[in-house]
Amino acid sequence: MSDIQLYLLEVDKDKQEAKNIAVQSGVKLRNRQLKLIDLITSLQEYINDKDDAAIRAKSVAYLADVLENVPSKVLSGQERRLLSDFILGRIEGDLEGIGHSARALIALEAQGKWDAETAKTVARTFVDYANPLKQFKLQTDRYATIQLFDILLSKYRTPLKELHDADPEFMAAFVALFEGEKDPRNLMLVFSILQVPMTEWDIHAHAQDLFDAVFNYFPVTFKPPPDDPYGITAQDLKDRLRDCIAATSDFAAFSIPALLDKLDSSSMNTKRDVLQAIQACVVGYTPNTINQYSVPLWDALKFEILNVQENDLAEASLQALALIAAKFAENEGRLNTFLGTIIKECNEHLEDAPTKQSQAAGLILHAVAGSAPTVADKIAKGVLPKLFTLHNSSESLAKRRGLLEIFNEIAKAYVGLTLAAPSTNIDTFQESAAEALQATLRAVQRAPKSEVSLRLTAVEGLAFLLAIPRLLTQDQTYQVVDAMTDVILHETIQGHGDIRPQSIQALGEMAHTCPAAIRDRAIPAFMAELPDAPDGNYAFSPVLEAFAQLSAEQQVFDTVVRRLKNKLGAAKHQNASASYQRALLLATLYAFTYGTPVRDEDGVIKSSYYTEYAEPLIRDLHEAASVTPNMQDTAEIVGRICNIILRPQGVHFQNTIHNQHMFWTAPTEGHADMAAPYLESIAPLSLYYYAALRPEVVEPTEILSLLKTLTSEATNEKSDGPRLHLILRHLSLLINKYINPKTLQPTLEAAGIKLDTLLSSPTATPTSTSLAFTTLKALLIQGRSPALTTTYLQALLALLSDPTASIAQRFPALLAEDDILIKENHCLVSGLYKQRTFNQTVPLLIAAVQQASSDPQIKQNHLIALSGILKWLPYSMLQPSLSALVPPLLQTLDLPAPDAKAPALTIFESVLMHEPSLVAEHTASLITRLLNSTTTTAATNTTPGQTSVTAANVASVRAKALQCLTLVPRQLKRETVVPYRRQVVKKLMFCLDDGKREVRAEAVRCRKAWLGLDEEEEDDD
Amino acid sequence: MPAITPLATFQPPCTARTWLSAPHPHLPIIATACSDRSARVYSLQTFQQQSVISGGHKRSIRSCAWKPNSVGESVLATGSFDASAGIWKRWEENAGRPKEVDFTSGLAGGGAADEEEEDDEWRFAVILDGHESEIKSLAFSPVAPLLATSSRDKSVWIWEELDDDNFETVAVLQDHEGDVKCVAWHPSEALLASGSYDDTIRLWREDLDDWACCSLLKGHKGTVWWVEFEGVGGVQRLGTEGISEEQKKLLAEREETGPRLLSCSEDRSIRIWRRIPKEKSTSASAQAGTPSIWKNRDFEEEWVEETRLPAVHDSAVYAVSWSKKTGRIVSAGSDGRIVVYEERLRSTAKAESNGDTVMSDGENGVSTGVEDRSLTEWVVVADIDNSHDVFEINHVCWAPRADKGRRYEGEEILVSTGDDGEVRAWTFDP
Amino acid sequence: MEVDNKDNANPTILNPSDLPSRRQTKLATDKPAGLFDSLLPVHPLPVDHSSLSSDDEEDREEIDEQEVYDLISSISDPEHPLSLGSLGVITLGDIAIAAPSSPRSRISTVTVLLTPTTSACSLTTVIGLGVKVRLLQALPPRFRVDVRIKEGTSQTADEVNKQLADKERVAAAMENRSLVQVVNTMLATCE
Repeated sequence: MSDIQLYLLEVDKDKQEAKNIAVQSGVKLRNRQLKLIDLITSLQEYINDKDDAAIRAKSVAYLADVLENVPSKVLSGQERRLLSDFILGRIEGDLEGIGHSARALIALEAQGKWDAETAKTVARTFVDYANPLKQFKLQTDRYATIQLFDILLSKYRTPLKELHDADPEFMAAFVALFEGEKDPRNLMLVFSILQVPMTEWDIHAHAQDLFDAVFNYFPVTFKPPPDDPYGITAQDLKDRLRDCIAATSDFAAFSIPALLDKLDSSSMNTKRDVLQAIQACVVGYTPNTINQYSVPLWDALKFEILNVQENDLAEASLQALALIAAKFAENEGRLNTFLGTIIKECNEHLEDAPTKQSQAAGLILHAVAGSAPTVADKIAKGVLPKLFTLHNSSESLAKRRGLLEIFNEIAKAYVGLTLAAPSTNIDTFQESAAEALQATLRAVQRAPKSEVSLRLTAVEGLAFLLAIPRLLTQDQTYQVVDAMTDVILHETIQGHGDIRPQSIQALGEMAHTCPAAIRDRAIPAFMAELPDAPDGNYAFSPVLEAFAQLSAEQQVFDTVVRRLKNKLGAAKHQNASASYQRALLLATLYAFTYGTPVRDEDGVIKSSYYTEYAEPLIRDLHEAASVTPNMQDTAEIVGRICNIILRPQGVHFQNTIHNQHMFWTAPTEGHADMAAPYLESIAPLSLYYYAALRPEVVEPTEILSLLKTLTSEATNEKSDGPRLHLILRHLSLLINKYINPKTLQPTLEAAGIKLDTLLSSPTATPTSTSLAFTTLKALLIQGRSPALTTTYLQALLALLSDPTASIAQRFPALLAEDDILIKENHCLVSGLYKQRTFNQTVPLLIAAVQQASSDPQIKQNHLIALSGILKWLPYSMLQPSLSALVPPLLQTLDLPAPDAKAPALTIFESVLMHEPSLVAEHTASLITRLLNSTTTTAATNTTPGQTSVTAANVASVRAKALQCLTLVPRQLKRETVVPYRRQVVKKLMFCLDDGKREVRAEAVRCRKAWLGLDEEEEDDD
Repeated sequence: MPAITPLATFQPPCTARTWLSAPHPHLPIIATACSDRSARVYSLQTFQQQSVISGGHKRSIRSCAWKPNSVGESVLATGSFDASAGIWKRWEENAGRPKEVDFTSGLAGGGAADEEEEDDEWRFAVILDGHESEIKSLAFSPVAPLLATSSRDKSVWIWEELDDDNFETVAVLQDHEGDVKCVAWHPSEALLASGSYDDTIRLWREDLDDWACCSLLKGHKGTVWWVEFEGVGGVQRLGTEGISEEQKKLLAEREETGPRLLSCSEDRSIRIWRRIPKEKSTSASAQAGTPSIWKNRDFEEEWVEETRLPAVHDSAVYAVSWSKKTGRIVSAGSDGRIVVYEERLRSTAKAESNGDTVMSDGENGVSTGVEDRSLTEWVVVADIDNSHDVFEINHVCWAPRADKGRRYEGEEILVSTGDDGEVRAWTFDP
Repeated sequence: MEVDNKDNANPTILNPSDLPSRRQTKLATDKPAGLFDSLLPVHPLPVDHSSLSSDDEEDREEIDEQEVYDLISSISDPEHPLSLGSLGVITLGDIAIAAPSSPRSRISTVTVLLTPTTSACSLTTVIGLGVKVRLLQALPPRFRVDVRIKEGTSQTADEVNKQLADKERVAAAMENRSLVQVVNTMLATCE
């Protein structure tokens, strides 16, 4: 049997098998076992079968399959020409298997480039005989053909263009060929095919046909099927279609009117597409073309902006206007006509400012002016004089504000332009600068303080004025800075009328745009304002806070911290109040923490800051603490300053520091008697200092002795208070950072920390328990001694079953945020420590809760411990175990323990948001408990199995409970919650009268959510 | 000292606003109109819910009324915001038998319970369509097979019950210029009163075979929320022992004019209206008069404001009820206050003793001339505040006491219905 | 075009910073949190009872005019995508809270006067309804809500006032789906 016969047998049963046969034929051709001519002859009988179209089609398919699979070089150029003639010949007589014919041709083309003539013939044949493609019902038939044309138009543009040039009728037929295509995949190709003639050929005569051919598809409303193998999105289609519409100015006559017409559509999405298309056209068409339509365009776009429906639509319209202006930027005449209208109409809106439309006018002017300096200048010339005449002649402050808002928009445009091109000429804008300056200054300095919006607008304006380089003279700049400084230093309005925050921000921006002026004027003014030693009732904090914020600008950072240093020196010298000195220290700390200090090439904060600022402070502290006790507070601030500068420094620098400057570890000579109180005073400094050092800087021996001292101090400390807490933080630092895990146990022993004894005795003192928790925490975070850690953890859990031991409340401390044990302090922070702790505790706790149901006290211990752990774990970590966690967490909500409730509620909030299904089965008890958690008075709730009393809930718990309850109707299935609606809505009425405002606010939201349920209900019946 | 004391709250309460409660003409039960589209039937013996009638209306049930002197079968009419009125029936065998109510059911219990409660017994008989918008009130006539309904569409409809479950519209009265908030029938005549959003009260009668407005009562300065007629023979209650001649005359006159009309309003006032008896003398002019005049004179009635009750409410008064037994009046409204008043003959002695309580408020007091020559006075005998916590009271009425605690034959209790969805029973001690 | 059938196509808009807000008024009473406070976090002790402290409940923050304003100023006008606050329909000065009339009563009254954007605003009733409904849903039941049109700002004032004061009509309106939808879209912008 010949291959073709075999193929015909297989093709309907087994496509793949059929392909193989074709491949085989290909191989035979190569091995010369089969001559091309014989293959063709073997086809004849089937490919010409008069009565069976299907057979004919399949035969072509066979041919195509063979050609697609025949190795290259097998067929000679002549044979290929022969074949293509053969195929094209067929098409003239018989369209069966048109798709396969196309495939065959594509295969041939792949074997060797066609000459111009072949390309033309191929194109012609299809255009003449296979026209229109929509006659072929099979998408694949059309697809192959369209692919073929895609190739033609990418590789053989010239010959096809020649076809078009030679024959005026060709284009019409060519367009007709693709008419009525519906398949998205095909359309993608059709669009890009048609785009070629649109952009490259002279199609003026056929503009309408071509345009209609694509615009028929506008707007694209295609929704891709969920399982679309080709992953074509509506956006893909929209983009290609848009490119077509914008392809040639010849379309303008049809596109612009059509688009503007569709812009009146009531569908927001259509409007979106239209506006994007318009933008594309403005970019694509010639300035001259756009010019012809600038008036209707302006009218339409303006309407979208003045009567905002959706902000993004207005935004898109503004962009379109900007693009038009940019298009005309180079052409004086066009620009004048276009801007003429805009300026005229915007000026009209100035009259009744401030209104919805005057606001819109501002937006328009900003958008347009921003497009190019030439445009901006015309806007400035056309609008500003009028604007300021109105401003100066108007007594209404509201109106002045409205006008200044518009001025700001224009100024903002210039800021943008000069930022992009600093050399931008600003002469025109400068003409109004003086007036603008006067108007804004006047508003800030003389308007009634109650005119907040006016003054704020002016402040914003001033910032803009300074942001435009070379706009103001030095004196003018000084005026502005002085005005700002004056507001910041001397306005003491509380509540409505207070514009200091915005002024401080503005001054910050000014520090960036003209640091010199800040150094020359603002900073001295601040310093003059701040006394060396304020008397009791002088409120220095506002001034200091404002001053410290200037440190955000690097160009003035050094000046700021230096002045603070000097002021502190003066304050000390004048024996200023402790609180004042403290504030100055805090200001310095703020600068180094949130400010922008100078950094070296590696991005590390300059080490010189340490010697310049930290060291002197330490020295002062050292002397002070040597004579007066209780300097902990100062010590902490100094410690933090020292820490923040020192910790990023390299080993070398730290070594030098550590070896040279340990003088402060003991009081100054002659005060040996002060030793104990001194050490207590500087303990915080010591903590933050060691936190800053890299481990390799400190000798183990030194660490060991430190450990010993601290441990004994800890064990001797009676009260479980701040002092102990500080010692413990220090201990946890040393254990985590400096102890080599290998020698961990011996070192701890040597230091006197015997964990097993600490943990085995339930009657441990608070101090020893704290010590145990601290050590364990340090080890947990470090994660280098898993075995030991686990043992201790288990011991800790065991204690929970002892009703007399009250350690459950301490569990939150285990994983609590800690500002000492962090990577920045070179501590060992295992990436997995939370996960580990979770694995080692949570499952056990859950189990324990289930068993403990007998003894409520023990149960409660475990519940509290559980929520203490969960409190610090990311939701993602809990996810796998949620279904097991939900029941115990529900019980937690019954506990009289707010600290335990809060984390539970937070988790329920996440569950409701991400996996509502998990709580669905508990809906009733969840709602009941959430409602109980919203009450201020102790409430008893009865639930199957148990009764429990919920203690009064603190505000934060009540609020969180309400947030959760708000999610219930939104996240759970309607039918599961609707039965509760009326009861919940009724109960929530009491929350509306909660004592705390934030809680009431949540209650309102929650009630709204539940009330919202029944509209749906209505819809049902 | 007379006092109003809490007796019970009917259980379980409704989870949404309740509008009105109507005592059954002879069984110890009440029916409550609820905004959750149901009507609940509670026992006056146990204060427990007996059954829930629901499923008939698409919106709030605003009002309900029992058909008087129905035999062997209870008939309840419900008027709803869905513009329709429903007629429900139930055989009376086990009427009054307290029904088990499931307390254990959790939060959703109310809802769940409703489903079960919606039992066999209550049959939905017929639905009366016709009004264009919300039905606000309805009432059965005690003397004729007539049902009146009123609506926001400004009209009052009168339906005649021909035979079982077959109601025919006999009149659509459209003289009011605003919502008709309430309707009430005269105890012994086919005379209907209606109060409206247009601040007026109208009286309607059949003129030949045509219903029409026979009197227009103006005076209220706000929506008239409730009207109700005095019981028959209210006069005797005042007693005739040792009273003056002119007082005798007054009583005689009362006999002639018949039951008076009580109304309350958004304007916070509670007024009593009295019919002016036709002068004999008119017959003379009647002969001369044209038929029309003659007819009108005979048909039209003159009603005047006889007096106002002491003004003790801070805001709108939504309901008043006139005890057929004792002639006492109870009022309630937006301010959550329940007040009981009593009419007394104005003897000089009394006048002094109660001088302070009587008409203390000048504005409301003696605005109408009638006041001076009235020989009786209304005094507040008891009141209670926050009777439904902070919620508004939509309705209050007198009902026979039927629980174990009943102290004497014919003791009456107060039943108040509030925005909190609760219906409460109160004892009153004279 | 659409713009023409609006009663007021180009209303004057108040600037947000001129609208009264809790943040601003709060500063007046409370001591503002210092900028430097965050620098020295208070380290929680191992056993932290701070959150348990009951002083949290001691000082009750009473519902005041500002709170009512915050509840309703964010309602959006059915005509413009703007809030009633920024349109000046609702102003803090036109909100009054009256304490219980007698020591015996626990009922307070909130009165809100509306200023329609134009004297001819046909949507006045709807706006009024929106405000009334919002307050009925958001205020505790001990408040009686009295929403009315400010004297001389609307021809239809009396009519509208009487409707808004009629609880029965309001209740019925809230069972009318089309009205409910209008109101819900207005309230959608309320936090």
